[in-house]
Amino acid sequence: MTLHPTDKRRARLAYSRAIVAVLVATAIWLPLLPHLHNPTGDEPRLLLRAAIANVGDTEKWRAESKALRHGNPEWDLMRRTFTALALAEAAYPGANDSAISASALGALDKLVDELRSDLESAPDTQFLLPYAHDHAFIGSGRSLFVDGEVALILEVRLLLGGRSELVPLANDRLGQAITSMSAAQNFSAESYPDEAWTFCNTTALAAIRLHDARTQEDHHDLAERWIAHAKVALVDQRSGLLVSRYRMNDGVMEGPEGSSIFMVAHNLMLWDPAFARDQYERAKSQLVFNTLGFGLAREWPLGNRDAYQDVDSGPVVPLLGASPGASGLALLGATAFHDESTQKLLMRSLRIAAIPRNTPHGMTYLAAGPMGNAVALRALNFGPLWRNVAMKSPQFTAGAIP
Amino acid sequence: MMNKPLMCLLVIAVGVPALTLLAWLAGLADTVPALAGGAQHPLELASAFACVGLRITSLTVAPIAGIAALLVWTSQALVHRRAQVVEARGAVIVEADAAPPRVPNT
Repeated sequence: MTLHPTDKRRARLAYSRAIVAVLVATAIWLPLLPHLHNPTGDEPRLLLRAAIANVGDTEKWRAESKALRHGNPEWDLMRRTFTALALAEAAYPGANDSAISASALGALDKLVDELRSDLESAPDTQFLLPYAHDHAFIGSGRSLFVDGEVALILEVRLLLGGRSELVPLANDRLGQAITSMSAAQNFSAESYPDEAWTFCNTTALAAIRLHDARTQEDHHDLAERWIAHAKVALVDQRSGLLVSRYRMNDGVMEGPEGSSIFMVAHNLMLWDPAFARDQYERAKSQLVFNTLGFGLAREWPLGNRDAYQDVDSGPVVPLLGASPGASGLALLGATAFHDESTQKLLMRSLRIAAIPRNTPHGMTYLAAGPMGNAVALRALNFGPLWRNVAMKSPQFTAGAIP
Repeated sequence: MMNKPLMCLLVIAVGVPALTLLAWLAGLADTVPALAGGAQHPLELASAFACVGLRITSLTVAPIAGIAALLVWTSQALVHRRAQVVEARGAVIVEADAAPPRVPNT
């Protein structure tokens, strides 16, 4: 079929008109889009209410734990840690909503009891990836990942008062962490055989700080030594960020990662706020970026050729290099360090990509799964507990910030 | 009045949100948490990606197509209206590509 010249001209005109219209429409819509996905302000409360209901629903909680373990057993414990921190913030004296405080405390108690039951019924390796069995641990034979996170959960609960029967278990887990870290030449303990993580070591340090705040004991020597050593041996020269994973001889296994560094900064603010802020600011400038008004975080600084996608990063978005794990934890960093503009950018992404859905008790981010929801819950319910302990921290700076 | 580009824009503007709604009504959104790990079957993961892709397309590309369709339709309507007015005044619309004037054979 051949078109008459007039028809051809009309068709060309129609296509040109459509292309111009699409360009104009894009120029109209894209600047509006981020403003249509601004956070409503209700998210922290709704997520908290959903978490309280979720912990109370034993069957659902266990089913989710089982599904998490199927993907990564660590996430089952980490979800409990992030949830416990958020619940403790809500139950902490001085929290905004007194009506929700009592139910948050009840949920935290239930979470702690479930954890104790799980720890009694199976060895700690239930929370570790299978390669924990591949070699023998070099140090005490224990995983600091498990000891540190269990100690943190128990210490936040004890900080709220009562439940003194938890003290022996908390002291045991914390004592194991302190012993392992103190005995090591680099003051780090292993999470896996000959494999230490800044994430886990700083989580243990945070648990120690909460313990000191509760008992008035003083472990600042250990924290100061760890931080001083880390500033010298564990800071990546190119980015100035703490690496993620290293051998017990400080040989770096994985450089800085978005899924680690924001949690590390959040933990370190309890001991060395200046260093913690420095790490947050560096991580933000190298990992967080803004696309059309939506904030995302990379898993690795640009130009890191050795990096590879794994269970921590989550599926990395092609071209953008954004990682759900890094973006979620960047939100934690932004709220912890009062960075409201970054928080708003990241929240917009959460709203558009993680698919918020109302539930009978609150809300959930559908695409984030139980682990992602726990991180968002903690990030958006960062509050008085952590800040008060941070403010009362011994003000030291172990070595200069590199 | 309805040409191909306008049809395409309308199909995207209406079709994508309609598909998204259908996917949601069919319960495919329940597979979305599989994106965060724990997918039991590749189909579950594919459905989850499709749901998220459809949602994001509904919120970004579909409205752009909708606005563009509105712009195209408006401009066509204006041109058509102008042509009617000109015709009503008795003027002759000469198409630019109309047949060239007769040239005597030489």
